[in-house]
Amino acid sequence: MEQLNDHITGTRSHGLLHNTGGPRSRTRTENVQRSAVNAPGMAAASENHFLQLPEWVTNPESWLLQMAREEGIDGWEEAERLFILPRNKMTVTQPEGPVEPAQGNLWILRTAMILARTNGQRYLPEGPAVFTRHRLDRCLRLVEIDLNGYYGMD
Amino acid sequence: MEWTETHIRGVIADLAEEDFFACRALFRIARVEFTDKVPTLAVSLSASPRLYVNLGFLNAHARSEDDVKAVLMHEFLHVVLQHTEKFKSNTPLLNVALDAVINSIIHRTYGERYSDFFKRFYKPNGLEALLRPWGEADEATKAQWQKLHTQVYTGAVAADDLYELFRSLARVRFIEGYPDCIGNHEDWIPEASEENRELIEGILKRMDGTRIWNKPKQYGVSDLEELERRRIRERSLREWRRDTRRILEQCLRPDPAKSEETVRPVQLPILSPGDRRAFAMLGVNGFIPFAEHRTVRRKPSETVNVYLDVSGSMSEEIDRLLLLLTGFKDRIRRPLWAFSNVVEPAVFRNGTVEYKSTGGTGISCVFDHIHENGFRRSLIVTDGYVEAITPQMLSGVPREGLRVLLSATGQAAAFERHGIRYHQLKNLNL
Repeated sequence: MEQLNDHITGTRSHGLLHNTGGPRSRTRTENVQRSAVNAPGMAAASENHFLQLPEWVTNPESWLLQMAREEGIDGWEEAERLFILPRNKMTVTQPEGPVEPAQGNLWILRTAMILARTNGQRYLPEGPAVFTRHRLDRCLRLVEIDLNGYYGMD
Repeated sequence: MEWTETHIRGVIADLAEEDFFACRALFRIARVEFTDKVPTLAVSLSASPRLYVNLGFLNAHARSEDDVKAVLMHEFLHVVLQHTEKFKSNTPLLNVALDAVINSIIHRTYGERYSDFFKRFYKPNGLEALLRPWGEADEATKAQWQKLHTQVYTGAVAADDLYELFRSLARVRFIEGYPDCIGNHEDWIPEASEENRELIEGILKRMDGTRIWNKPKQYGVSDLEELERRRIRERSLREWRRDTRRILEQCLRPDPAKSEETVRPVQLPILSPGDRRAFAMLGVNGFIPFAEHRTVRRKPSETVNVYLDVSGSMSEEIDRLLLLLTGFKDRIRRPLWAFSNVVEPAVFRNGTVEYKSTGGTGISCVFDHIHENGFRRSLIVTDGYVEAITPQMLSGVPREGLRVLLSATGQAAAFERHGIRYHQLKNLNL
């Protein structure tokens, strides 16, 4: 057994064997350098979203609705008809470089509507819009995965 | 702050998504009712789960979404820890004991971002101090409850023990006056239905209870501060070992062009195309037999000479370093060398290195030793407090194969001046 141990290297269970006739199951930890989400050809569409919510805003939804009214938009339903929002589900990833915060009322409103429909993992176009500071304060990159591109990858 | 119902519903949805304490299952299905019937917040599980929220309370006390989440988590923990079922009678002292334990769990698990609410809500005086973590400004009031506070906030005291203690203190009139507590302390809230009990059990199974239930070591009488100190020491040592191993990996990296391959047979319980006998045995008895595999092992043909400075100034680091060097035994030439003013082979007896030391440190003897023996690769472990290095001392020493490993407080200047590659160990901080 001791001799056998010398030859099993590169695994976590190195040096430890059961007396049950076989080696322990071996595990290996590897850091993922790149994921399929970032692979070229996989993203059918991607957008960065960052909304710098002012510190003094206590109720983000009221603040945004006020902004909408200033632009002549009466509530979220009308805003949804006006803005072109992504139609498909998208996956949340981290942006690769610095992202400029949304500028101008209309752009801020569109970004807020997208961020409010994005949970920790996915942007859900039909999902509930949650206008909390927690959701709106994030800086995200949304990626629409094109599964047809997966098999085209090298 | 003016909270709206929609905003609170949003915060609840966020909390469910963040899944603190595995609360998702409850907060996703709980119906939220805004009412003045409860003074703060409450959860009822008698029929379909309901979360009662007093908006006035939140308007008066919650300044941010994190504050609302802290109160929601507080309610959730009352439910999931089944306080209503476990403690039939409802007394102010019991409420304080339960709330103190719950607030400490929130503080331990999710930190000040959430427990800050309790710090603002409760005063740092008397019994109320146990319901909040200490703040920076609380130095003056710490003395009275400090020991008990430490035990509560390190998770060493269970709620029923705390309640027993409060009762005995109240009997001798040490405790007078009770603070108002947040949450599920209303008598009208009925017990959970059978169906909801299953829901709670499911949550308990998913929940990471590491910081909720006491660690076995901390039960009973134990020196918590000593335990904490030991944990910090162990962590520092682990980090030091990790960093030093990385440095050694760089210093002792073998030249891939100069390595030998040895092929050795190994018996493994995996079928091998080269072992037909094993296939035959599998056919006979159906058990996967040990089969012969050929493994290729690369062994560096060029090893590194290691010189250890044993003048006494870095004895603690040397002992720990030697342990790490055993992991690189294939890459090191034996014997190791110990030097002070002369170079001697280091001998290991009973797990420690034995050497003769003259007390001072001189590096010229090491360079002479490398030159005389024609060593191509060497690693010198020293604190760097050595005589001035002259070009003559380095003549005949292959510079590209020479590395110096300096102690954390060591002097690099002498080596830097001559372009000798050096690495500095991290501070041990024990």
